[in-house]
Amino acid sequence: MANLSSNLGIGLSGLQASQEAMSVIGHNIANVNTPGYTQQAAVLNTNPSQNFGNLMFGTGVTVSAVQSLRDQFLNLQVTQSISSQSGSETLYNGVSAVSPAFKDDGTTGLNTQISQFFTSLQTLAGNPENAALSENVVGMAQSMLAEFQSVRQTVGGQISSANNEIGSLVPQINTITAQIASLNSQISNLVNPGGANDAIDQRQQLTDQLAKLVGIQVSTDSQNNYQITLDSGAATLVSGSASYQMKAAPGGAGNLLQVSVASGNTSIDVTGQINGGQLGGDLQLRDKILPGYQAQVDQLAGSLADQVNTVAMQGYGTDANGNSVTGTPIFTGGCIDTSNPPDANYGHINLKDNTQPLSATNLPIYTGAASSLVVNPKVLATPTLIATSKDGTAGDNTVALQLAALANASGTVDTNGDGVGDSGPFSTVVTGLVNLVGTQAQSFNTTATNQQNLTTALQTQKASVSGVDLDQEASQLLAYQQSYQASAQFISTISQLVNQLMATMAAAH
Amino acid sequence: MTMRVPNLMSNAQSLQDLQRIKQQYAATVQQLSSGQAIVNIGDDPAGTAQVMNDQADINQNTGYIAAGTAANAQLQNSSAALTTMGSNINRLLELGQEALGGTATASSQAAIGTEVDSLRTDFISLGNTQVSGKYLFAGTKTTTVPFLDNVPATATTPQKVTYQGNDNSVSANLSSTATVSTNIPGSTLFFGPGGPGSATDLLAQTTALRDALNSNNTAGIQTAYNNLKAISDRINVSVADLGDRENGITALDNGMTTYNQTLTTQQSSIASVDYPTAITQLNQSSVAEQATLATMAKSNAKTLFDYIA
Repeated sequence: MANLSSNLGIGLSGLQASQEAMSVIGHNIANVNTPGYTQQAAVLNTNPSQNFGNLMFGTGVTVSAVQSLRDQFLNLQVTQSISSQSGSETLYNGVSAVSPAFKDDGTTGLNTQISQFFTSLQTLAGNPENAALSENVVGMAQSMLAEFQSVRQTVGGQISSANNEIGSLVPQINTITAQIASLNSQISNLVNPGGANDAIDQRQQLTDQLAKLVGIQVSTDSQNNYQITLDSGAATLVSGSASYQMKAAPGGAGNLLQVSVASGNTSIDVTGQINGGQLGGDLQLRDKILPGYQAQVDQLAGSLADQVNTVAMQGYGTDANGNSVTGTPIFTGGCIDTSNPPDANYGHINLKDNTQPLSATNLPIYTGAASSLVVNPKVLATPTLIATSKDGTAGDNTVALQLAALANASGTVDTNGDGVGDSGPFSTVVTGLVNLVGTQAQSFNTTATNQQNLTTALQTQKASVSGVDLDQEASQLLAYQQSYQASAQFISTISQLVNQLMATMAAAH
Repeated sequence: MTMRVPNLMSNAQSLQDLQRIKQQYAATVQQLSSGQAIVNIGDDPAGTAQVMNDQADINQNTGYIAAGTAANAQLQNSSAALTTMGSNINRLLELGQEALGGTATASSQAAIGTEVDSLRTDFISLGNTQVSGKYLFAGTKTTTVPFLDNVPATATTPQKVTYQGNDNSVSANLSSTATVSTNIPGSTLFFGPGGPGSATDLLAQTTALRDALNSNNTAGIQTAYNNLKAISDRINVSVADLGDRENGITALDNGMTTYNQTLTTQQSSIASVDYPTAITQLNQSSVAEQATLATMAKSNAKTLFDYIA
């Protein structure tokens, strides 16, 4: 039969359960603003009944666990969304940083400078005898080349910046993966129900931080360990209590940083196999998007120089002594054949094999044209060497007109380096490039915004499950306060009964 | 279904909305201060491309307009010389008529011959007209004196000039498809279709007239006079031709100028900020910002704890 002593035990269990539950509420309230904190709840279970005679009596209540209210599926969705958002933002920031270089306001810009160069040739055609107009052409040519160099340098600077950021991201990634691996070990060793709640929260926070840095996929094994791989699945970063170090070392074209992940005694090159996160974004910018812009600028510059040289070298200019001379290229530089004595390709864009003619396998090299082109030093010294005449007479402007007409000619730009002009006029190619940069900037911005909205929506959903609501905590606190007071009152009542019983027994003696 | 709204969540959403509003506000301020609707090329890639295409057309047309202006200047210089030449030929014809009149004597013929000789010198001078260092009537050999009066008469041949220019035309591009010749070669103008020394050669016929007058050769005077009359008609046609070219250039330039204005207007409609719209947007952003801030302040004001005694 249940007795006063066991009743005291029941009252005590109620006191302890309420006290422990209030501790959990206090922990929740203290962490209301802690990022990544998952609200916890005390799990109350009725104690097993005891048999007194042929009756079963309850023995009170126990807090059997402290449970975190988390939705693991939502957590993983948020992680993935953070990766995608971070990657898109990095792409947008990278393209936005170079887009001002492509803007043309009518005073500066590639289109304006190219237009002014060909306009100066048009003006020279109207008065080919005027040496000052030849000097003007030289000036416009130099301004145009400076613009090409500026655009290429801006893009090159952003490539360098992305490369540097890759170098700074890898140590951060390694630090976080090591911490996650350590927490995996800690969590799997904490066997008490709910004992690992805070560690799991910390691990999730670190995983979200990692997702921002690099695109990852996360899964959970039977030991509640996080298994983390790159989003492409190319390499494992964390497996149980082990983390696999990432490394960034110079190599490849341009000695840019190549990224690898340790795997046993070897390493896996993952440079082209990371899609999301800042690292994925930076790799795409550095290796694909920005070099694409540079290549197009080089193709444009190289094609323009080659077209102009081809026409100019067939005409006659005038040397310092007033003699008609032919075959003077207007542009030279590292990318143009300046063989001495001149060979068959003199004045034109270098071929891969300069001893052989242009062919399907012997293609022009435009790489670096935008930065290496210069006005021919001979023309710089004697601007009248710029060809204007077809027959060597002073007033003939046939070649000058042909040069000016290149501005509107189609098929003047070889965009794919096969030696055949496939695009043009020059202004159309510039507009196409500007449109590409602008469209990509807009697209990445839209994607990043959409991803941000998705991440926020997912985080809102997650918070609705896991976040601390002070009103809810206050309500529960009131409930447990009342239950504590009730249990205390019960104990007090039982105690009075015991005292009364003892007083009665003492009086009987 | 009732959804839990934890404290951190309501702040996060409002903060994100506030950042968006402030970003929009800053972008609108930048548009207003710059006067440009397109601040970054990513704001409107298609619009940016259209503006650039229009600008390329404007630049091209401006170049053609300038070429047309320069061509017109050349033609006007040539036209002025031809007009003087025409006047001189008319004077030659007057002198010829006077010489062929019934009252002419040997001495009066000789006096007329002196004036004819002077007009011959003027013609050579006109043929060597130079503007800004360029000889107008030398073909493309514009830095070479076209006419040299360096072949004296012999017993069997008259005095002649040497033409050092060529027959080539100088062209100007007025558009991607239209060109105009900006000169008349001296050989074409002075010698005519018959070439040097022929009946169409102005200088040869002037020389012939002078010589006929000096030798009182009435038949020679008549022949030279008749040839000079035909040459006068030819010169008048050339003057008209130059005038037609000038008019054509002017019409084309005017058309391009008007087209450039249209393109500029089109550019402006894309690239320039619409001030009423932008100011309205600015006010809306400002109101939205204030509303969001007020909401954020109120939404976190009280919890149940504030009401528990």
